[in-house]
Amino acid sequence: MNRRAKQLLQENNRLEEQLTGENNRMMTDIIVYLRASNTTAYQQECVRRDITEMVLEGQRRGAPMEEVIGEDYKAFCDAVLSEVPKRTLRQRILSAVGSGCLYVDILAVIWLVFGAIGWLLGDGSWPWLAVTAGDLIALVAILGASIGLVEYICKNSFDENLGKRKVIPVLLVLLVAGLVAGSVLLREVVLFHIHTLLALGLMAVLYGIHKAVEEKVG
Amino acid sequence: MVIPSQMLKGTLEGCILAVIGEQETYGYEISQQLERYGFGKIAEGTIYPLLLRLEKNGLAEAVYRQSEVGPRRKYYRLTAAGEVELASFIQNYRALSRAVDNLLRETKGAADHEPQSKTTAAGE
Repeated sequence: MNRRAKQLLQENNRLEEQLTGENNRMMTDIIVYLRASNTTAYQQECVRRDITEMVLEGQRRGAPMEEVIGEDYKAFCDAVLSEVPKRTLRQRILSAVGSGCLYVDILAVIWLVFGAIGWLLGDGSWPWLAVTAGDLIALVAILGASIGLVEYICKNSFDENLGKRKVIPVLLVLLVAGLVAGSVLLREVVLFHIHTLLALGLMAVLYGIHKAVEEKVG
Repeated sequence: MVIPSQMLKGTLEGCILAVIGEQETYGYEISQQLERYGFGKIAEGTIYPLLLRLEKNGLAEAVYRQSEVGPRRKYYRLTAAGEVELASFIQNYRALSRAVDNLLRETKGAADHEPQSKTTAAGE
């Protein structure tokens, strides 16, 4: 999310504080649904601002949200999204790269912390850190399950039975399985060693790519 | 009488253009105007995507103005391309209306379906 999108997001957050509890809850479902769409964060925030102001205006005159938006919120969101410019293929690829860099960075921080803990406990050869097959499997499993989970929840935000669906437990099992495989089963299969400073440098580069792409794509 | 939403779909965009063409206006006011003209209650949620489309196609432009009584409002006005599109809509709609009238006059439609006194059109 670039600077102008972030600024609009903050404005929208402030605007939403004026919504009643019920309207706020429904707006959250709408925003979550918009987040899964193939539009830029800035476009999503523009739409969010318009809808929030529309609902607030309705709230002021005592009209329930169903009267303002219509009864089918999902159909409304789909109609709105069909009129919002889609991200180009280039934007989608850049966005995926930017997000991927951030996710890997977050997991790398956790990995580094565990490496440091291992060193403190006398396990390992600090400042060299071992990258194991388990680390990579855990990375792929955690990223896959997390992205899948978020996508699924966003796309089904209007589904009142979302909590009862089996997809969520399956993804969570995959997540845990990845963690177990990574931390226990394949811990001994060392692929290569990396110096802590180089790891930190790579993490900084990944973060830089993420920020640059974010600013570019919006 | 309820105007089916499928029937409204093809003409609503042009009608919104006509409303905006009268004066700069915002979503709720457009729905109020449409209701006054006999379209029945049309939720702003039905109008907003159409306004986005008009904006996207360069037929309308929007500006935010502070409201005296509540949150900011997004006001829409026609662009030059919107004026041209409105003229085209009027021409096309009149042609369609004449054709349907002619057809109904010469078929059973007019005799079998007397207009009802109460007119309540439907939104979506």
